[in-house]
Amino acid sequence: MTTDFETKIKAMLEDAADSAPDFTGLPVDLSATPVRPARRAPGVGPADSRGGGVGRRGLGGRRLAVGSRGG
Amino acid sequence: MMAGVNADPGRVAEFARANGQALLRFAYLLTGGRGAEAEDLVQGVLATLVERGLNGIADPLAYARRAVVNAHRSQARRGIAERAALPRLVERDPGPDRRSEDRAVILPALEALSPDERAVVILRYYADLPDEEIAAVLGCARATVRSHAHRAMTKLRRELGEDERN
Repeated sequence: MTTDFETKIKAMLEDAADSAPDFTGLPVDLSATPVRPARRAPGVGPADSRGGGVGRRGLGGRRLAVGSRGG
Repeated sequence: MMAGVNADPGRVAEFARANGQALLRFAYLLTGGRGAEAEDLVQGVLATLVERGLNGIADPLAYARRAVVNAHRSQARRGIAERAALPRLVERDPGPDRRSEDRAVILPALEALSPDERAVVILRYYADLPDEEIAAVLGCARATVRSHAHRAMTKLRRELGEDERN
């Protein structure tokens, strides 16, 4: 059984929902053609994407001798 | 079909056209009348649907409601500390009429409820869902829905200064 208080809450919620903003549509344009990311040329890209750990980062996998500047 | 690829974006667009406003009203109540937050919740859920599509979803509206509730739970967890430090912003002037007075009363009163209690009240009394469907939306047992509802109504009575006998 619905109580008076429940009826009152229902009416208040319906009224409050009326002040919601208007829905403006989907967040993305569905007609847009999906863009495939360009294939990255070997050796080009973020330094940390080439694998390896300390001593290899940003050097294309070449290890340098201790003290070397890689020149 | 590959997971995460939407083969039929038109279906999502149609779903959004038919249910976007209803979802936004639901999210608006869930956020206690914060229009911008409600829009963010709904747009986030729709963006996910655009990406994954509606395939395999038996009831897209129930799915979207559940996603809005879950997003609101996460947002509420993050926002509790921030809210405590900020004054409440009134987004619209309630004005003098009786309907606006109701609105000005119920939205702050909803703030006294936990996110799940609030969702139960809104799904039960605004969306008119039976407890079984509310349980499905929240991912909990029917008994949990009943206990959330009981606690929520007790809190709302207190917030609205209502007699227990009503």
